[in-house]
Amino acid sequence: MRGYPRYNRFRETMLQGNREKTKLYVKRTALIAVLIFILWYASLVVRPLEAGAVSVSGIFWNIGVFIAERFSAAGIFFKDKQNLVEENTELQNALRIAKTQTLVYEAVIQENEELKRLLGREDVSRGILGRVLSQPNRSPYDIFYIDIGKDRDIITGSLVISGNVLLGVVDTVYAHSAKIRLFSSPDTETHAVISKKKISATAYGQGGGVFEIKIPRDIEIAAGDAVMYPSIHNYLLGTVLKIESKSTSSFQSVFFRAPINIFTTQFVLVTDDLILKIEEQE
Amino acid sequence: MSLKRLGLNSILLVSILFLPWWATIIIGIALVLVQKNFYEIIAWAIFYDLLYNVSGIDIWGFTFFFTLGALILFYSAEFLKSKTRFS
Repeated sequence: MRGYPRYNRFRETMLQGNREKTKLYVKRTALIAVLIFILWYASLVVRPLEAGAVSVSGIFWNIGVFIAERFSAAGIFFKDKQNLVEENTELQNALRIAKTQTLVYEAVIQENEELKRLLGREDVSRGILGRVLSQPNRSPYDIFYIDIGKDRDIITGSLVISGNVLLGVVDTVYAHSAKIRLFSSPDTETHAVISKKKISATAYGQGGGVFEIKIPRDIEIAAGDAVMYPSIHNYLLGTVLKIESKSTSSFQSVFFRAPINIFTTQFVLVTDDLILKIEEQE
Repeated sequence: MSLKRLGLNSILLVSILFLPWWATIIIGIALVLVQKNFYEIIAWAIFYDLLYNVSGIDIWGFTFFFTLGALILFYSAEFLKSKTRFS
């Protein structure tokens, strides 16, 4: 444009700035597209990166476990004496009740083992103890890592238990660690048996240690009922928390959770048993 | 890399490894808003997805949800900061 040199200079500067901004925008978009493509399709690149990330994290987790073990007793000095006395009394009462229940439980277990022996199905459980490195609440997917992997011949698909409670399955094995996926992980389906009624169903993971089962409304279920994993080993999946049903639906939703706190479990056992996949039964 | 930036990255690493996932998200958002051009959030999100993703939880085979979220967060935050006094 003629006659407006200042305006022309300003306009040129703006256009130059816009061109540069556009170039930067295009470069960034291309970079993001390449990155997403690599992460989506190039598993050859992703797998070694994943193993590397786990190795690096393992170092920090082991340091964290070391520090936690050394300083766990320090918290006791900061507790009020009265609180400690009350807590002690409560725990002693709970222990008395638990001891009584244990006696009954042990008698039932003994009878069960004897019956299995008579029928030629002895329950010989083998497993490797693993130290939990990261708790399931680090991610929204209910997974955690343990400190044993290929070095202890852990294989993918092995069941993982804590006591008699079935927690999950080995998802991925690395050199010195393994990723465990809880059965309560979202989008996970697991075989389950509501022990009181001997009803088989599929349990759907809801995250946070919670499962859901859908069964017909006319079946009576109560809070506290045990839900087992169909196996010779009597693995417990959880106990019923609550039941929801709508008048318009012929099914009821049963929500249950493992009776142990999965967020504070420190040791688990990786068994020889392999998961029975849902599709294998169909 | 300045000491401040190194410190912020350390906080995020500790959060990813030792804090609940919702705390990591809050810290990540705060760091992106506080620090200019905190592009490291994308790298940490990739690290997070590599560590915690699970086979079977995907959309058409794509499992890097936190990475996608970090990309959106980073560019949205930079855009918002350029339009407000937050920069």
